[in-house]
This record gives sequence, structure tokens and C-alpha cells, in this order.
Amino acid sequence: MMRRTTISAALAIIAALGILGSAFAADYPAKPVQMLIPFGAGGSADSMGRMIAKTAEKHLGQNIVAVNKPGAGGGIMLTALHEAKPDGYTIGWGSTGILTATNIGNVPFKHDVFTHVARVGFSGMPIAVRADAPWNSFEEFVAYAKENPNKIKIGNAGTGSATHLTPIFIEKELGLQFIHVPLGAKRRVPSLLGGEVEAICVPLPEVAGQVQAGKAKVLVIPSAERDPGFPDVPTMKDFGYDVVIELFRGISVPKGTPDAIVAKIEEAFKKGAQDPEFIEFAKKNSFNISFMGMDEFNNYVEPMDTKIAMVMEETGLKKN
Amino acid sequence: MDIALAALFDVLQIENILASMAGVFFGLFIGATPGLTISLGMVLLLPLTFALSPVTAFCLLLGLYSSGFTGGSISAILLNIPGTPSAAATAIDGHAMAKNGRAGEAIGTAVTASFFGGMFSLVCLVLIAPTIAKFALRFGAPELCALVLLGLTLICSFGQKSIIKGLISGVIGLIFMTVGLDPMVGTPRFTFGQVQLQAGISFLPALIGLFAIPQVVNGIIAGVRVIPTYHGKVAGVLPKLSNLVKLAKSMLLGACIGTGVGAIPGAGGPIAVFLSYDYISRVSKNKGEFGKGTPEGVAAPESANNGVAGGAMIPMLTLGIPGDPITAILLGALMIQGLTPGPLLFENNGQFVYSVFWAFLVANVLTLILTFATIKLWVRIHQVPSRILLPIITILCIVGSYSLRNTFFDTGVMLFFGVIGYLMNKFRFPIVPLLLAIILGPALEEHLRMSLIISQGSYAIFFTHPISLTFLVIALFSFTLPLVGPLIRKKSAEEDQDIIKKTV
Repeated sequence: MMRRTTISAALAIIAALGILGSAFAADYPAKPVQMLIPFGAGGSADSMGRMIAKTAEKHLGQNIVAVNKPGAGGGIMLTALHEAKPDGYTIGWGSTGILTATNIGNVPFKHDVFTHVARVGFSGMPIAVRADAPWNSFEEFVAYAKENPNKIKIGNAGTGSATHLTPIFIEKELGLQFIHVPLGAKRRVPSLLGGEVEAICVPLPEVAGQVQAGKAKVLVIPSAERDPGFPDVPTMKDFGYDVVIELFRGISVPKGTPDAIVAKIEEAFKKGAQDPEFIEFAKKNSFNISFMGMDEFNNYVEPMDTKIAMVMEETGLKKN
Repeated sequence: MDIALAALFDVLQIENILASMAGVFFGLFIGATPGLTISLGMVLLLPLTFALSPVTAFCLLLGLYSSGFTGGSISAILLNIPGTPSAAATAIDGHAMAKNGRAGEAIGTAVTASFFGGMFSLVCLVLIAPTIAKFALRFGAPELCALVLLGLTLICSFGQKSIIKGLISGVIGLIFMTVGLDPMVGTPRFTFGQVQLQAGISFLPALIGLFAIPQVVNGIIAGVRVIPTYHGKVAGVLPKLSNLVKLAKSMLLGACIGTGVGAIPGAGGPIAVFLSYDYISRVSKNKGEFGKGTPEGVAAPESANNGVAGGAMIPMLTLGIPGDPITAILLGALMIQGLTPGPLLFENNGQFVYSVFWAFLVANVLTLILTFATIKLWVRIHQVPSRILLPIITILCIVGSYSLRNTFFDTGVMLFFGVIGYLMNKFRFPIVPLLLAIILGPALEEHLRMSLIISQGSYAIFFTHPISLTFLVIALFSFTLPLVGPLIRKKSAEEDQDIIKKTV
């Protein structure tokens, strides 16, 4: 008798939980949503993330709370996102870092443990040199590099990061050899201005101010199209090279998040990206808004992942 | 000049003064609370600034920035728990003063020195920022490596009672800092497959554990208050003018080192604080008093502390490059306000830059006034029974270590270092060398290896760069003096004895 009561009570609880679960999706969002940011406060990933959270939450109907989870090249945040319940209350503000951190083996899983919900936009990843550098164009830079292999030092944000892979892509495609200096995000621009390295690969927002002030110049931006803020700077495609790498930013969630919830998140960020406040902010910070919904975003991520994996394999960086 | 005046009127608007005050109050609280850091306070305030005008936002944030350092020294002095890493040097003499019943005087000295350091760095910021920024840019990897090495040689000075124990303590710290992703090639080291360990051991939880946990454990074991009780009148809160004159050298030294080091992107505040403490303890007339509670030992690091604040704003405002993690957040706040940080900030938003100067001035003045007004309240922490105080400290340590990166892993790190700190106290190993190694170890490795990548493997890079060479020579002296010094003194003492014997 006792046992039967226990069993029926247990069944009742399970049934109740089931109902609750389905009610969950319909009621979503019933409480504030956490948005994990893979870097510390203050950088462009952080400020951009906080701004889109602010404009998207108007359309989601709940607060979106930005939580910084820095460390391990984004690995800490990716692990937290991977381990989070797939209920839509934990979402991740990801970037190209999702592809680099998973391939280099900072985390023991691939990017496909996430559903990539929406790409908000991207920034170019130019090769920048000092304003007084002897090269006035990418061609001159390449000609010098060809004659002087292992001479030009290019700074990046860290080994295996997107800013490291971009110069590697260029090296491979053009048969050049650079010295890669993992300066870290903090010291990239000071090192360039101080003359420690000849060039850096850096997300456009971080160097745009220096370019406008005449302290640095960008030689090439390997995006798919010319950057609207720098229409005179060529892309790699302009020279006939198949090198396209962009620092995209978008929302990813743990796989298994119900479709209805994913759709709500996608919609909220789509509208958030169209908010005049976000548009204004993005324009000032060299971030190109170019929204992609779930399907388009996944089609965009997949080939980029393959390419990154390939280059990492060739250079011995790939460990996952 | 017009825009400077307009900016002043702007900052003196009632809402901006109120914002400054709120920032200062919040900063004192955050700074004085072990585990809550200025960076964390900034992150908490950041969403609020969305709704504020740029000037009001900066009044709030700079209020927090300047008072946070001062708050950090309050808990360092009263509880021997530095609220911020930079206050760890203040704890040495500040807490010794508190134990002698001079807590009020120690806080008074700290606040005055902080104010002086802040003002000094502001003057530098206004008058010669572009020159300093240009010089700071000459600090590349080899220069930073040499500077960090100089900082590490202080291990010898801070382990003076037993150099061997000091070195052991330092090496333990260096070993811990090898955990995590290799900074150059990204290979995981000693991570045992744990993703959390890949990020390495962050020094803030370690700092909290090392200082706070031994206090708590000792308190529980002893069953009595470990925190010195002082029931008498809080004497000498306002430093006398004559005392201030005596401290002028310490404060000026601290302010110069603080502003200079603060302006170098990537150098970091703690190194400035320890360097100035060490330097003043060498050039001071009362060398013997250091560690026993001398106001000079409080004034120099505190002045350096707030010198770093203004110093770090030099590259931020002139170049758009943050000088430290906190100014990085300030840059983020600028971006959110729609202002583009960078070399053109001054040209495009000149009035705003002047507002930042004034806001920093107002923040420093308010910090001075508000801390003096509340010193007697702070000192009362001494009278809180330990059965109430110790649990509060423990909870704050847990919350604080969690909140740094929003992970309980860091709470574990804090507790782990708490055990180490307790054992080190028990076996009389000095804590400061371990702390120095934890703070500086990763920077040393990073800049050393970066230099070698840049030089293609040649160590000559450290000797051909004049700044780097200068630091290395100073480091050599700094390293050998504590070792050789006692021998020389002993020898001359023996000679004196001989002379005395002969004359007898």
C-alpha cells in the first residue's frame, strides 16, 4: 500500500514536471535571461554584448543580464554554456572564438554542441601598420615580405586566436613567412605604436581610432566585402585570393533548447539589431550589422569551421 | 580655457556632484570589503551609466575609482586584510600601527597620501600627458620583463627576517602560476583535464584566501578576538602639518612611481606600490621602523596607489589604450556613451576630457572629506565582537571570490590559498613574497618569452634596450643588497668590536 502511494506520488510529480516543462516553453521568458560573455568587462566583445542585450530585451519581454565569464580563450564561457540547461535562460554571446577555442582544444567538444541562433554582425580583421611604415599598400607590404621572409613581425591576440589565424591564412595563400607574436589583446596596439612589431592583426574597432587620428593605417581587410567605414581599403578577394575571415558576433545556445524558445530569442535579437540605438552604437564602433537567422548562420559557421580546422591541422595547432 | 571652465560648471551641477558622492561612498564600501574589487564595482555600475549623460556617468565611475583604493587600505590597516591587491603593501605598516592603537592615524595618513598621489597624477595628466604617453609606448616586452624582474627581486626585501623562507615562499608562488594555458602557444599545463584550470589561478581569490582565511581560522582556534582591540580615544586622525612635512618625501616618491608605472600599459598597480614601499624603506632615515608601524610605510604605497589611478588615465585619454584593467572598463563606458576612445578624443570631445579631469579632482576631494568624516566609524570595527565579525568576513570572502569571474571554482581557489596562508603563518613563512610571485609571475613569463620571440631567441635584447638595461642593473642591486648588506654591516660591527677591544 505504502509502496503504491509512493509510486503514484512519484508519477504525479513526474507528470506535473512534464506539464511544467511544456508550460515553460509557452511562458518563455518567465524570468531574466543570462547572457554569458566570453571576455572581461570593458573590451569590444563586452560593450557590444551589453548594448545588444539592452536593445534585445525590449523585444524579449524580460531582462537580459550580461555575465562575464572570461578565461581560457573563451573556453570557460563555452564550458558554462555547454553545461547550462537547454531552457533558453542561459544564452551565449559568441564570436569566431567559438570555432578557434573548440579546434585548438581548449574545450573537449566541438562547436556543434551549440545551436547558433542568430548572427548580429561582424567586424573586419585588418592587417594594420604604423602610419609612418614604408608600405602604403598591401601590394608593397607583400613585395617586401616576399623579399624578406621571417622579417615582418605580426602581433596577434594569442596563439590560435582568429587574429593569429588570419595572418596564417595570408601566409599560406601568398607563400609568405611572418614572425607571429602573441602580444595579447591588451598590448597589441601599444606594441604597434611603440614600434615593437611591424604589423598587427586586430579587430577593426580596436584600431579604427588610431587610423582616424593618423597614427596607423590598415592595408587590407579580409572580409567578404569592403568595409563600409573603410571603403578604400581592399579585401583579399580584390587581389584574387580566397581568404575571407571575419570576427562575427552572435547568439548561441546549448543544443536541445526547444525550437519555440530558439525562435523567440532569434526574433528578439533580430529586432534588437534593428534598434536605432544599436545601429548608432555599431556604426561608431566599426561593427557591421548584418543579421543572419538560425539557418543562414549555421550555413555560415560550418565552412568557416572547416577552414579553421584545416589551417590548424596544417600548422599543428589543432588538438580537438 | 573656455571649454575648461564650461566643463567645470558642468561637473559642479548638482546631479554630477551627487553622482560623484554616490561613487565615492560605493567605492569606499567596495574597497574596504575584502573580495569586492574596484573592477567588480565598475561592472555593477556600468548598466546604470547607460541611462546617464557621459559627464554624470564619469563622475560616478571616477568617484568609485579614486575612493576604491582608499577603501582598500582601510581594511588592510584595521584587519590586515587588503581590500585591493595594491593595499597589500599598506597592510604591513598600517596594520602594525593599528595594533599599537594608532589605527586612526594610520587611516588619516593613508587618506592624505592617497589624496596627494591622486592630485599629483592629475597634474601630470593635465600638463604632460602626451610626453608621458609617448615615453610609456617605449615599454615593449623586454622593458616590461625587466621591470617585472625588478619587482620580483623585492622578494628578498620582504622576506628579510629569513631570506631562505622568503625565496621558498616566492618560488611556491611562481610554481602555482605555471598552471593554465601556456601564454605563448596555448598548451594546457598542469590542468588535469579541467577546463577551469586552463584559465590559470587568478590572483584575486588567492589574495583573499592568503590574507583573510588565516585571520578567521586563528580567531576560531583562539576563541578570542585576533583583531586588536583598542578602546581608547582615536587620537591624531588629522595628520599634523609637521608630520605631513616629514612624510613629504614618501608621498612624492610614491606619487612619482605610481604615476609613471600606471601610465605603462600592462605594468600594473601592485608593482608600483611594492616598489615604492621598498624604495622608501631603503632611503628613509628610520630604516629600522619599517614593518613595526611607521607612517612612512603607509604614505608611500598609498600615494603610489592613487598615483596609478591618474597615471593609468594618461594612455587612456591620449592614446585610447587602457593602462590597467579598471581603465579598460572606463574605456568601455566611453564607448557605451557613444564617444570613440582614441587619440582624437581630445580634439573631438575636448570639453568632455576636461570634465574627466575635473571629475577626478572632485572625486579625490570628496574621498578625502568623506573618509575623514567617517574614520571614527571605521575604527569601531575593532569593537565588533569576533563572533559577529568573523562570519561576516568569511561570507564576504566567498561572495567576493565567486563574483570575480562568476564561478565557484574561484571560491575553491580562495579556500585552498587560505589553507596555504594559514600554514605559512604557522611556520612563519612570509606571505608577501608569495603574493608578489603570484601577481608578477605570469607577467614575467609572458614578457620574457615574448621578448625572445621578437629577438628570435637572442637574450641580447634585454641589454641593448637602454630602459631594460637600467632596470636590470637596479634589479641586480635590489637583489644583492639584502643579501650582502647584513654581511657588510656585520663585518663593520666586528671591526668596531675589534677597535673597541684594542682601545680597551
